Amino acid sequence: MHRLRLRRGSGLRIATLALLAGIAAGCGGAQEGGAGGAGRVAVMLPPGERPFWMPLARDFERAHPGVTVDLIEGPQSTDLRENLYTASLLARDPSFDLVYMDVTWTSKFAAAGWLRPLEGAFPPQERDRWLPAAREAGMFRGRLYRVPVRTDVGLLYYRRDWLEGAGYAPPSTFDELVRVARALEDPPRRWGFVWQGKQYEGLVCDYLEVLTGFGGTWVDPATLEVGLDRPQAAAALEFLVRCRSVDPISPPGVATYQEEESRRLFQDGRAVFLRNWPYVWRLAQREDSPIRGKIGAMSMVHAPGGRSAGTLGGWGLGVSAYSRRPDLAVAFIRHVTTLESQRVLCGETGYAPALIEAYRDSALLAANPFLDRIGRLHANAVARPGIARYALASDILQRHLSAALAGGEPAARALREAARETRLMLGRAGAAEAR
Amino acid sequence: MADLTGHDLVKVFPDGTRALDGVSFTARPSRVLTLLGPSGCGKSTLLRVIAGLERATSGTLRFGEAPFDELPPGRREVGFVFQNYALYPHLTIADNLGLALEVRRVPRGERERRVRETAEMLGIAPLLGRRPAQLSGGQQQRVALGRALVRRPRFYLLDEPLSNLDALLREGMRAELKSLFGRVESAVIYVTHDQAEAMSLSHEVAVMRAGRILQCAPPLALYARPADLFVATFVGSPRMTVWRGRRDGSMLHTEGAALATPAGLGGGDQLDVGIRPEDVEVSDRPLPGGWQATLEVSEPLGARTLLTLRIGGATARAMAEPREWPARPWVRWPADRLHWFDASGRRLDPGGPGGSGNR
Amino acid sequence: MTAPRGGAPRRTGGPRDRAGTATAGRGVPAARVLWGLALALVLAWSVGPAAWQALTALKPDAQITHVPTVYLPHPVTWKHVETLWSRKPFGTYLANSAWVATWATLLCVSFAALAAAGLARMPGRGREPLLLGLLFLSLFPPILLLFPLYEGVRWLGWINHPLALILPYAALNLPLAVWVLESAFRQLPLELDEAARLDGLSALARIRRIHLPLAMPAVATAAILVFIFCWNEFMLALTFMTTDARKTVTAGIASVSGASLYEIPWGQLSAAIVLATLPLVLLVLVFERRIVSGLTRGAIKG
Repeated sequence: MHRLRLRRGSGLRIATLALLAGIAAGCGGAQEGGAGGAGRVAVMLPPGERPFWMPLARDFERAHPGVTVDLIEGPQSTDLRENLYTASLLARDPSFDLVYMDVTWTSKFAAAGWLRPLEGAFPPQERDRWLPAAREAGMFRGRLYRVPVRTDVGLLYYRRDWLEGAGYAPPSTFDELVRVARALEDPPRRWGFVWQGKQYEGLVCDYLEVLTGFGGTWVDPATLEVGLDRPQAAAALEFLVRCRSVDPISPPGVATYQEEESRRLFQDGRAVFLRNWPYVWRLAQREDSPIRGKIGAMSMVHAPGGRSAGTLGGWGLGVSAYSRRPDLAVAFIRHVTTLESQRVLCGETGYAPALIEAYRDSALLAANPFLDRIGRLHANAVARPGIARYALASDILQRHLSAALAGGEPAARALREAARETRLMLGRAGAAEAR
Repeated sequence: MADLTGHDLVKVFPDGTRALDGVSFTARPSRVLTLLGPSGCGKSTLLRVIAGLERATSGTLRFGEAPFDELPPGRREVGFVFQNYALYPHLTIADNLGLALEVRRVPRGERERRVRETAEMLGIAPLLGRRPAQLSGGQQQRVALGRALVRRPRFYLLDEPLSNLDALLREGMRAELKSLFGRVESAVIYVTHDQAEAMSLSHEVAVMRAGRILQCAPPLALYARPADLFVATFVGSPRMTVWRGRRDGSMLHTEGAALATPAGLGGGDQLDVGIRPEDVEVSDRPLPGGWQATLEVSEPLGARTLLTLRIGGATARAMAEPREWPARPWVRWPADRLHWFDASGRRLDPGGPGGSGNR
Repeated sequence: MTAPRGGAPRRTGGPRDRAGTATAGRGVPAARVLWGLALALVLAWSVGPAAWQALTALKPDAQITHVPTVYLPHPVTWKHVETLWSRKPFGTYLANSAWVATWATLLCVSFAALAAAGLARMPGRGREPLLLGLLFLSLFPPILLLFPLYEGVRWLGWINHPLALILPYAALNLPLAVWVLESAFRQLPLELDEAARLDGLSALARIRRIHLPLAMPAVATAAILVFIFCWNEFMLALTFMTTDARKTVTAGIASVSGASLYEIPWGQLSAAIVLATLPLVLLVLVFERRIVSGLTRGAIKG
């Protein structure tokens, strides 16, 4: 019996091994070359951007013989890319040397210790060449973790032809915006003002601009003070609610819009004002665009005595704390932030560069005359709070903004609750944040 | 072929049931040993222990001199026929028959030849390409037998193989089995609760009850000299009539009649006495040394008529001629046809204890 | 609707009779209409989204987001499919998915069969707690395993190796497959096992030659469920497969991009989803036939 059991057991084991061997054989050659790691710099990019980075990578490889740049194509969704970077960095995985980051990731990644401080590699005189807002967005607790590659800033587009035709100057206050929009709109064929009202990061960007216009604040990253229960914050939210339901200048569907939904309406000639990002300009000026040459762009309007603001966006590079070749990673960052590289990257794509001098570059201006205007509007850029738990803070705000927009919860009450939750969240993380 | 012997086999199940309580037996080549008993007597357990499907708690099994308790079922070389046949539903009849040979690496040619021979012997050769579900109950039964036969095993074990057939088929199959058993060279152990099968097929019958073999004897000996009150009443149809009585000198007083106890009969004050219905003589007229009885029920069976009679306070049954009987017939029986049992149920024989029982 | 009426008038001659059957027959068509309506609703409910996806895949871009909604593509365009195929190695994605899912399913069902055969014939009271334990394990959200798995896969150097998906997929689906197979095996008559033991079949041979063929419908069910899971799994595939040559179709779809960061390429996405779903639908259809034939074979037997 014992002998028999043994025999049976080994039979099973052999079968298992055979199965695994079969798989292994079938998968033969699956292992990537690996390249030994020594001369390799890897970064994960959004799939749509990768083709434009290819020439930069090839240039870099030519300048550094023996080095390969691995441009890994990530998923299209920003959140998924952040998840992938997070999983990799949590595992102290050296497979990404560089992290291609949205402005809002910087504080989280830096606070977790996943990024290598870079102020040594990029001394102040070098940093001064970057747009100030983009530069500041790369700092966390006084140290530099992210070098801006391209920038974004929230803009208010308007139909210059309609405003001029009706004898209106571009509005500068919220009330003027509503008045002009009401005068020119003809719903549902033509709406006054379209923006991003879906419960997602874009809503926070829109709100932040209005909030700043009313003189309010969200979270002060230095003191962790929360300003959401102040009257300015309520006034800002009330303005958005008013646009949608009180003095309806926005379509009811605006509460479900992201960037593209709002842009399509505007581009189809069905909206007077559009809050969006600089990429709209290029699309609006295309040959087949019905609004080509008929639009203007400025920063978001403000309350009397307040200031205009455009939410800062944009992408930059940080160096992974687990990179085996931080020297190569820094060299690659330096390479893609030269004026020549900015021309390559931004010329064809229409991205707004991060280098101040790029906004005066004749080649770039020839490719995208709008750059000049973006450069000037960048002065109004306002950053989202650089706190380690930014994602949580944003989530809290998104939920309450959306509740007020869609569900009719009174603005002041929604924001009081948002402020309470934000303080609670910050308080719990307080020790870590305040340090 | 050698003897198959079991010695002092005990099987205790995890729940404490003592299914086998010290069973010993010998099954000889070319002979049929039937295990007969009511359900729950341990006969199927004994079969499964022999097959290796259950492991005995203690005791030994030998084939010839070689113990085989440690062998797994597949290496005991048994031909087992299940009560419900247990044919593989997804395999053809040929594959059902041939699987064991295939496992034993019998070359394909020989395998096919043996399968065909067996099928022809059983008259199922035309069915070899079919699946079990396409066969009648009797055909499935033959396949089940064939699966045992084709392996030419060291012994055959059959677990109530006929119980799933209807009465007509069963009788025909019983005769076929008998002629089949006459041709095999291995020992056959046959389990049944049907005494007619046991009587007709066996060379020896072992009557089991509560995990023990009460008596093991050739069928006719079993019938003529049951070693035990249980065997006496279990074997024989219709059942033996049994009266309980109190001994007073040389007389046994039962509820119905006072009977003379033979000289030299052992036992204590309380005895059981039995008489088979076929040994009771019935008459219209007074019989010398007989009793007048009251006829309660008359059941014509064809060849004979079974009478239920009341004699004093007791009931007796008698096999009588197939005709109308008066309300108060006379009965008697030869004294040497009475079976005597002591208070523990053991057979008593005039001139001393004993008998043919081997317990 | 014509069928129930068909026979009645032929049998009955007079107008009165005809009227009688007509009123009596009215109940039947009404029930039929309701039945049909319910059927149509269920069909619309389940097929609707898939159909919409397919229509979207064939619409020119302008019609996809057009207000008011354009329902039927006009003209039908294959541009999205073409773009998808030219911009992404979509065939490779599909092949990778098929490869990974097939091996994971084979592995999972093989191991599940071993466990299920053991459990189904397990004496004593241990079986129920073990099965409940398995069920409990299967309730564990797999996403929580992502990080430890990532560490393990990286340690083994299996990033971009199909085994990094095959093994976790097989393991994650084991509880489900064991449950399905165990209940099927337990219903097989014990005597078949014993007959096979007496015939000399080893434990492994019994599973292969007796259990699996007899439990074919359950095996097919388990295999389909596991295969669908593997085909649809996203997080592990996305995390472990970073090169186009190794991506499975779900991870591949995630990297379908529009012209700008903000643009969602609905047409291409729909085309990708339809293309990724088609093989699965075909597979289920083929297997379903197997299941049904297995069931009917059982019916004849019974």
